[in-house]
Amino acid sequence: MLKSLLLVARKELRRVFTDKRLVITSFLLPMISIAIIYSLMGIMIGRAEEDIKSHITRLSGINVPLVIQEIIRSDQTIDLSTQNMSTSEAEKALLEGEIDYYIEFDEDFDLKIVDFQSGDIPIIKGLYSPKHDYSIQANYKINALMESYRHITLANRLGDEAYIQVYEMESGEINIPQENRGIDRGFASMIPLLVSIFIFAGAMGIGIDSIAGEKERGTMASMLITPIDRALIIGGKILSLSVVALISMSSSFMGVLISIPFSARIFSSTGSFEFSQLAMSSGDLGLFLISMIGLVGMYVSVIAVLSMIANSVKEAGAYITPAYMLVMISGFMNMFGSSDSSRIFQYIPIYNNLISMNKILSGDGSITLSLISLLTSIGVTLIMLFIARSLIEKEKIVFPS
Amino acid sequence: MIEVKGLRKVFQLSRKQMKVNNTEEKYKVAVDGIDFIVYDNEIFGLLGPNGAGKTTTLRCMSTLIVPSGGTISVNGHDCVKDPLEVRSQLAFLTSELKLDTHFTPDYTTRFFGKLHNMDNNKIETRMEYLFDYFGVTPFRYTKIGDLSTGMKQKLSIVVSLIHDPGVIIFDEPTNGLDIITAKAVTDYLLELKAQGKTIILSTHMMHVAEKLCDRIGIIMDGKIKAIGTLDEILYMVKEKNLEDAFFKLYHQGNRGELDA
Repeated sequence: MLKSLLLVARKELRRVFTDKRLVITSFLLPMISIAIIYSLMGIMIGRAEEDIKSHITRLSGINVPLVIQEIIRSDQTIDLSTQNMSTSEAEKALLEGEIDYYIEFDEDFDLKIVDFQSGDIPIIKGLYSPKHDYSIQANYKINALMESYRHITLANRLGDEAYIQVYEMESGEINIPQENRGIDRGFASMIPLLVSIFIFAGAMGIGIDSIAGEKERGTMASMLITPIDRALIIGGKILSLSVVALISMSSSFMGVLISIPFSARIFSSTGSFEFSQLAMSSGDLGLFLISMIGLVGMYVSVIAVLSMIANSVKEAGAYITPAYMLVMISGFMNMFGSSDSSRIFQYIPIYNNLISMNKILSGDGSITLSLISLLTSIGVTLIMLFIARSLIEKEKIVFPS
Repeated sequence: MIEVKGLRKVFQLSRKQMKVNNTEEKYKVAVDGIDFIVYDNEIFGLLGPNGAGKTTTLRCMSTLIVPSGGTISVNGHDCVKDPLEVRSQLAFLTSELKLDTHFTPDYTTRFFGKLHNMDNNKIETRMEYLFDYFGVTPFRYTKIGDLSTGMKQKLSIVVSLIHDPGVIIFDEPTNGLDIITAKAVTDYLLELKAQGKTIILSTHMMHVAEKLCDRIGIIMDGKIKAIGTLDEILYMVKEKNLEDAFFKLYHQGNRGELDA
């Protein structure tokens, strides 16, 4: 029985790994394209950030008091122009990106500041364009400068700068034990999503061809007239597909690792990253692999069942796409959610694997959660295998015409 | 020996199939209680127009589909109760069963030999013999996708016969073949008969049936209309050749439908 299972699995693997085009499109291209795309994203985002930082803010100011002009001009990254401009002209200039910020003070601003006890508070009108990054950045800069002006003014009014210092805040990080440190938080939330998507995507293309494609081409029926239990035929295909999914996932993940020198600013919560930060204890690695293998089993068996039901490769693609979307949704929920491991979520297949992976990478791995996710994965996989087994015996499925 | 008793196969039609067939009937009787026996050392021809039930009958015999009624016994093994044993004893060749074009004849034949639980030595011996007979040897390491139609068909025959089965079911084995390749196939069928095999041949080619078949069954609308040796059928239908006999039965069937 095992011999027949391995015979079919070996044939399927041979089909994949002796086809140069399939190897290139399924394993090499994803790795290369992921490495290039993530690197480019990292480089481009870095350049954009750098460009915004180094940009000289073009500020147009009306009735700017001298003391404020001094504060603004002390900032080398702001170019203040005091040329007269109406509000509507300023709005147009902001929209067209000719200026980054417009600020207008009351004509008697200084007087009102001095005569503050009269209760007539001076107005400062600021305008920026949320459409332009330079303008958004200018808004932060001007607000920060005006805040410093407010501090100076308050200190003058109270007669001593010390009066406005209400408290001194000392905040520090607690000492986290080595075993609970985990890897970079950004990577910890991103890796389960990537692993999950890479496994499904890797198994999807080849799985559809291996089952729906073979049905459509009539090559599966050739095996069905041999004296081998049909469960072993579908079992061999699922086994080989699991191997393919793991290799494909590793290849795609390798692409992510290659891109890290450039893409760390996207993935890492601190903006920088070293490979040593990915180091895990052998126990954590074991728990992580358990969750990952659970995903492989579920994804591959779901793909097998949907490919069995489909009458053609095209139809299989249509059936599997919604499943792929669910995989992505669960990945994003885990990435952007709070990794809720409350009782109900612990028992939702796929999602619990992702939570478990996230927690392991964050240094909070739990053997209980890993075991629950493993058991639910085995449960789902066995149900899918049972369905696949019964489908291959159905003549409507094997010979739909 | 193959023994078919009261074989019946009913398909449930999907809405799409009902629309395509322009019918409101949910069920289609493809084979309607047929009986026949094919003996060892015999070539039995199954003739019939498209949709008569030939392929369904052959699929039931090869265990690809399960009969709705009746029984089929292959060398004493029931097709429903003992499908693995039946599959190990028969070869089924039909245009619907294809070989993966990515692999070579050498690999494909070995793979199917292993699926039939043959050891490497047996596979090697059998493969050399069949490859030489059908002229596959020069192409044994060529991808199947690169082979000519005739060579692909020869390879399909080789693969179906690798385990030296006692029962051979060939559905239109010479379809699409040139005259030389077709001759090689029909000659081999005669050789298999000489080896004492039980052979069922489904064909549209009357001259092939006349030349090769010891007995012939003519199936129409899921029922056997005539069965016997060529002479017996010609005598029964009162015609001089098989083609005329076939058309006479076909028109009788159609008239019967109209009369009804």
